[in-house]
Amino acid sequence: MYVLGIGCYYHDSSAALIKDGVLVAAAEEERFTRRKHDVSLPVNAVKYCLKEAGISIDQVNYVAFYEKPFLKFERLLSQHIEMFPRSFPTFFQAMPSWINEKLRVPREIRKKLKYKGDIIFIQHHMVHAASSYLVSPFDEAAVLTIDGVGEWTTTSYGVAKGNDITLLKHIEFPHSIGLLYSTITAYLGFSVNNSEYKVMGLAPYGNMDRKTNKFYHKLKEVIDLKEDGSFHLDMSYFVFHYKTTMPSKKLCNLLEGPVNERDGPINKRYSDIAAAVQLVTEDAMTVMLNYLHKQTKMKNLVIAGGVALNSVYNGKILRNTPFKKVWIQPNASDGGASLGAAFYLYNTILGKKRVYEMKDAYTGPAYSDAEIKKYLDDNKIKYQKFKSDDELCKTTAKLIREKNVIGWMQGRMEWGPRALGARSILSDATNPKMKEILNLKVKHREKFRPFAPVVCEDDALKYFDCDSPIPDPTDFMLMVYPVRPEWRKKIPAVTHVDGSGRLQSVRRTQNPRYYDLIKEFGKLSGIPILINTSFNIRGEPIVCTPHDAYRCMMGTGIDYLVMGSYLVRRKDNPKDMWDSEELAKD
Amino acid sequence: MLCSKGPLFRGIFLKLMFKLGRWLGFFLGSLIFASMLFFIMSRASRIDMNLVNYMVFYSIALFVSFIYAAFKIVRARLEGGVWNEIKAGFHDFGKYITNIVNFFLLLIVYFIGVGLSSVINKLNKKKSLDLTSRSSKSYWKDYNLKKEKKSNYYRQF
Repeated sequence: MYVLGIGCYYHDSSAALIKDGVLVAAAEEERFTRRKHDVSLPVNAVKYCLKEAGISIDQVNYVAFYEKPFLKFERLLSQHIEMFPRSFPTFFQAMPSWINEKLRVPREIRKKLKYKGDIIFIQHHMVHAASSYLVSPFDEAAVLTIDGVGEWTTTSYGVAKGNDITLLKHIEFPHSIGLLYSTITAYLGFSVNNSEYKVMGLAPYGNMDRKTNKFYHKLKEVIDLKEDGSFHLDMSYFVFHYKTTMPSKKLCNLLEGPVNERDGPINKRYSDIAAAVQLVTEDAMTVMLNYLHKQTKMKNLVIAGGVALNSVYNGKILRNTPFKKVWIQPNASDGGASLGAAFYLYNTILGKKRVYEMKDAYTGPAYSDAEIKKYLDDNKIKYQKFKSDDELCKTTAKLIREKNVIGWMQGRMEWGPRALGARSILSDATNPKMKEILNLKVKHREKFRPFAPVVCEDDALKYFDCDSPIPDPTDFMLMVYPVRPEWRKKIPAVTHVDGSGRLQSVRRTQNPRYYDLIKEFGKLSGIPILINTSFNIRGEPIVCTPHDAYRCMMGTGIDYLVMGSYLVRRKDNPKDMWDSEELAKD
Repeated sequence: MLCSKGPLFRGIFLKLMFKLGRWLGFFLGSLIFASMLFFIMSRASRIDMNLVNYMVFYSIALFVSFIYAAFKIVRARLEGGVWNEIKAGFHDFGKYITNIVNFFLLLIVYFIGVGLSSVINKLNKKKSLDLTSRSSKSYWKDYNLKKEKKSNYYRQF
């Protein structure tokens, strides 16, 4: 039986296909259309999933959609009725897409995908819960879903046992931790639903002391947090419920200044505000999770929703709460909802046995050596072929040690926002100048943003103060842990200003070539840690195809591209007629 | 090919063709639309359906359209074939007209539908959205969302 999950029309549309309860393929539409956070019906992602399974759309038994569109529309209308007449500009802006697409989901699916079978609609937060729990290693777990907003729900908790999930309580729009975080993201001049992670990266530059950060105390006025973790926002500080902007004038007055211009300069005040919102979020999460444990008495925890991508807090969960194990799906935000919809339909609605556990995030397209060779030959690109995996790893490790920046494209593309060694840019973490070099050559990103380390799972505890045993979400770069003090100066390129690192741990079973490369690098440098950053330029989605990878290398300062068993040197090939720096944007 | 741009004269010719294609698409779209609109207007009012009236009507429509199209063409990315550009021209015109029609329709819907509901709600002191930061003991609301009958999942609400 084939079930196709679809999520779209908000942000990060995606598709996931399962066969008899096992995930066959999952990918986000942006990787194919090259439009970051693409919201459209994921026609290309669906095509890819079907191709991977070797079936046509007629062979799909069910399509599961990631929300109930009419419930969401009801919430939208309620906003406009409540905020009449101030909401007209947003009404005018939003309605055409609702009338043309969002209220006609079945028609759109049937027309654009040529699908004739059953279409199932599942509530947004249930899909989030399913996306994490049903592919986790747990047979029972406490569940927390927390994001900007679904239909009405912004936060919910519940319990999951066997195939069933029950969401017991929830908090409704407009009261949302996700939207509070997004409001501060907008206030700091970053783009909403995109750059929240920048606020997380900026926070350690600010004052992280709860006692002395005045903005922390000010932001606590904005949110009324109860002992049971429930909360309400003081809506006089926000305008997102009737405008396209988010902070109100009152919030600007509270934070002692106007909204920062788009990608404007960041000063100490802005850093302190970023720290304040991170602290407030952490407070709320800690109280909520402790209450959840009190209610459920369970040892295992699964989290989902956009806020579950807050890796800084994720690394503190097991230390701040009585939970013993935590699991987070690599694509925890709306991008991963298609996967949750497919599994909820198969395991819960149809009651079929759970047979799948997500052990890696490599669910996207792969390109064989033959396909890569054809691409290189067709485009007259100069390359050399490695004779063996051993040669590939040794040569690449040597190149990295010689201060080169490597584009690394191997196997199936990752699922989720993080590059995890399938579409990564790799370089030397021990080189103090590597952060500058990467920013200059490739990423063109803000100076305050850290680069992430990747380390083999068996070495992680030596260099990082991780929970032990290392939680599985660390494999998906979802946990930030302190770098052990004695190593901080030795891996400066991946040690953030507060001494932390958002590490990815790798097991050999997940990605042997990647694992062996890190070990080879360790033999040369004495420290088996690499910088792993996403293979893209700022403002573009992560690369997908050999063409995307080659184009990215030729428009940037990436020195070598290791693609399958082939090595392409940038200097051996004519430089492309485009400049990544010019295009770098959010 | 990834790196080649082709000979200069070929590039200029293609650029010209693409531009012409987009203009042509836009022109055809506006011609069809203006003809239909003129026909409807002449039936609904007492405007004579003669060529002079039509030319005046169409000239105004075309003038506005050309300004819009010129703006779009400057911004247009010269990708795809000439036929794509013709289609894009049609599409631009469609969007242009849709936006205008939408504005008036949505204005009516908003002020009559949403506005009236809002007034009735306010008279009944009913809230559509909980904007209060009331100080109750807990803000958690009962949800109890669990597995339902399969037929419920076919609904979009």
